[in-house]
Amino acid sequence: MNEPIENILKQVSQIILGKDEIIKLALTALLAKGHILLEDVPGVGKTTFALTLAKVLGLDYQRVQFTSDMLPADILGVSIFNQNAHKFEFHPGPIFSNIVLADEVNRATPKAQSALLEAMEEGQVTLDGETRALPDPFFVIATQNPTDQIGTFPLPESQLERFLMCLYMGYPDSNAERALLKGEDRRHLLKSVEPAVTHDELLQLQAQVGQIHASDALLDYVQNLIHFTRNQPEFLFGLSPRSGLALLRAAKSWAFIHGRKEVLPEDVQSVLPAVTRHRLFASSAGHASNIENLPQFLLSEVAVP
Amino acid sequence: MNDPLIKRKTLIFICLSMSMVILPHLTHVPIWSTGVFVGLSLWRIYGHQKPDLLPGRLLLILVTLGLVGLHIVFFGTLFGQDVGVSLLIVMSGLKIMESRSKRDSYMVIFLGLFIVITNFLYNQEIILAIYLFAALLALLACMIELSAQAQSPTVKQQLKLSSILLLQALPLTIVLFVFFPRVSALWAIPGGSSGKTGLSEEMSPGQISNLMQNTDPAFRVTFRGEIPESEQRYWRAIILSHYDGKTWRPNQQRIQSLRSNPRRRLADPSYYKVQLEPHKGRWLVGLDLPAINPAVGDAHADYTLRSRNPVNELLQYEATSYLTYHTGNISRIEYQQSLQLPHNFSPKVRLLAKKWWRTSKNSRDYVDKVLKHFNQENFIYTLTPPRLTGDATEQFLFDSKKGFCEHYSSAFTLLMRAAGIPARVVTGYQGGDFNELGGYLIVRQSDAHAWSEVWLPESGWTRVDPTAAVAPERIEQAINFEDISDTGEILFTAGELGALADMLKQMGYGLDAINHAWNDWFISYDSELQKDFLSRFGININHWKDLLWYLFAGVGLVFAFMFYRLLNRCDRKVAEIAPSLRIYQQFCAKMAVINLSKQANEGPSDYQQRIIQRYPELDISVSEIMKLYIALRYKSLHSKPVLQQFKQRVAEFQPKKMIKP
Repeated sequence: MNEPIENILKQVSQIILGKDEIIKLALTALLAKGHILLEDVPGVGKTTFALTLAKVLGLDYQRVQFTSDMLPADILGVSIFNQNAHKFEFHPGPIFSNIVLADEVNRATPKAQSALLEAMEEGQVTLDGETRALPDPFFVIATQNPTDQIGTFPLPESQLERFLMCLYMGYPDSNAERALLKGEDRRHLLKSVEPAVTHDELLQLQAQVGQIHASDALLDYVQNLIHFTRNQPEFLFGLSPRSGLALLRAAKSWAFIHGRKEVLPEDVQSVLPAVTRHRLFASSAGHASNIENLPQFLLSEVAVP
Repeated sequence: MNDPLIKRKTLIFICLSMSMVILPHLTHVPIWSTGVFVGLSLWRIYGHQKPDLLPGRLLLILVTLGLVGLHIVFFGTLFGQDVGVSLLIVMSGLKIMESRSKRDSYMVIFLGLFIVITNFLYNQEIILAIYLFAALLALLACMIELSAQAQSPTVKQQLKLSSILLLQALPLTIVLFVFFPRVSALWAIPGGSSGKTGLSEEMSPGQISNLMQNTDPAFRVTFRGEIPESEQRYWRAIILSHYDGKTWRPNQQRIQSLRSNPRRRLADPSYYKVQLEPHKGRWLVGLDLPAINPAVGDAHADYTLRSRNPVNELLQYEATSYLTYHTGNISRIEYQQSLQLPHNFSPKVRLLAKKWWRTSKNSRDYVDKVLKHFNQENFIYTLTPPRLTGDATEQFLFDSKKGFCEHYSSAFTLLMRAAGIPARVVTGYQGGDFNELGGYLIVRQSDAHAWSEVWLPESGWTRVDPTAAVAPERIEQAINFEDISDTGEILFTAGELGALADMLKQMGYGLDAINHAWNDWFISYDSELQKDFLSRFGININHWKDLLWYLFAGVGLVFAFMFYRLLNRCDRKVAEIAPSLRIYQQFCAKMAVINLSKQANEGPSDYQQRIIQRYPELDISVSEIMKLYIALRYKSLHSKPVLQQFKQRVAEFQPKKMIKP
């Protein structure tokens, strides 16, 4: 495994216990220049996770708590008239940072949501006719409450798709829990964490992901997977081309993290659940309703060519 | 057996499809037979959730034996068409009751497919064929549902797939239909007890009138030239010349060839093709006077046509008739037969005949006298004449004076015989409607008729229709049975039918034209037509065994084509497969021998891990093989030496020898 990668993973897993798989996937998304949607109940360490990532990667970090009365300006920033200088001064919003933790995105109105989601897609913000680039790398970790709660505005499918991955944090296992209870406060520990990579190194890592080789045989496999979702009645609709690209990008990043220069079917299989979880919906017709896990169903049905 | 249990939905599907197949049999089998089927199916569906309610094996055996016993009691036999069908239906219900697993359900469906065929023993109309086609689709859909894996397809998909399956079977069906030898002797259906009735071979009052209530088609005729006028369309079927006081019967000694009378003179030929509905008798219809031997039967000296075999299936034949004829002299036997009177013949009638005969100049005059009597006395044509007691002829002539064609022809013939004029009764059909859509004439059972034939020295056998003397309108058009009043008296009005009725009539003609075409193209395709049809393509069939060669060749051709298609599909796949993958598959096959086959959705590195975990001793060689494979396939390394190396490693790889026991 790549040395800086190994370093990053080691550091993060010291703080976030027993979540190696999630950490790896999060790093995969980050190196693939994608964003993450964390779906989980409060208190499982989402904020700590985001903070740790920021610290280890040497990035700055902002947290936005979404509420129903939030306005786009609360995220993007606002221009205020400076009496002394006799001109408008832009006060950047929390979105201008490397890692943004958007907490409870589905509490906000669609207007505020789309401000964030547009910024995510474009990598820039246009305010008062002026386009401002967001910092690079730019990485959003959004959390979402279960959508059946009162007072939520569920994200539409089109916007869900902008997240590369959807992860479940999950409760720690009993060993990790015990260690957590015994050990020091995590936030306190966080202070001792040193950045594992420099800013430039991180950008370089991201660039290297793009050079990972995907052979025709592998592309066949990816295409088979996509076609399967489009042709089987279990799926409400098939994966979009954007989803296919996301899957391949994530798989490349995953292969890179594992120190390979080529993508294997296993890489696709490893990232596929996280990449497609929020993109696949069971169709109400037919017998799809009794399929618990659509991504697993997809993987089990499509053969590796 | 670890066959999975069937799902409730599947079970209901099967029961519904089976009901579809059985439905047309409702009129052929006793009602309790279908009742047993429905009851058992419902019981089985209900019992799906509560298996305790399902009968045990012992009870099922008892019920089965009981039902077989019931059949023996009801039918008196276990052999025959009706009892066989009834048994099939009941047994398929029992099989549904018994079915727990997929295998049982397949059996039920096979039974259903067989029942589909049995439907054609009773009826071969196109409507039924279309309906059974739908039922067949449903049965196939059930099969697809049964054989589907955990995820069963939707009903729409099933129907689509079963339609495709049927379409794929079409070429084979066509080959079998065209070439299969039609050797009727081998699989002729022994006449079932039920079925359509036609004209009876004997005549006692009331028989034809029953037939006249029936608007089913009796036969259809396509003329090659002009269609004769309605007054001339007397379709003779049976000659009745023996009267025993109650019933008219054909004479036993009538099997003589037509050629026995060389002095006949014939003119105005009319050529036509008859499509005769099955009637279980042997008579064939022919327009007065049929003259050539049709291929299917013989023409007799009494100018009737007889089939060699009972007409149990739709029969198509060509015939020629002469509308103008003179039959010449009468033979001695015929003369005797045509003057026969019952020994207890009514003296009153005899006296009447004598009285008229004495005042007549000649036979012709006498005939006219009798007809005039029918016309001027108060004779009424009715389908519900009063019941006659005692001597029927005497009562009819002197008291009731009410009757229909049977009464008139019978009384007329007897009056002729009493006066010494040879006469006989002819039964058959009269008239028929022309179907403009199909371009053919349709004659229905309701057109059944009886008339007389007298032998006159100047004209030979001459047709006389005494009924026409009573009500001439009877000859002009068929009776409209809606016009029959409750008393049974027929109002001979033209019947002012509304536009709707007219449209319905047109629709009826359209439907009948479809049926006619269906009969023409499919049902009547027998050995003769087969020969004819094939000869058009230069295939000459002298013996049905010749057909077998063509049949085998045709079937072989279809199979060869299918095989070619399949092979082609495989070929395409082989061509697409990269050499590295083919070698990898060899490797996987070797692993499969030691019970560690690759899962379909397993990548190379996962597989490698699984192998090494199970057999650590294979680590080195497997790792090397996998490394080469990944390099070739996922690093897109196009290097001949590496491929060679990979091939060699896999060839050398002998997992069976390397693993420790």
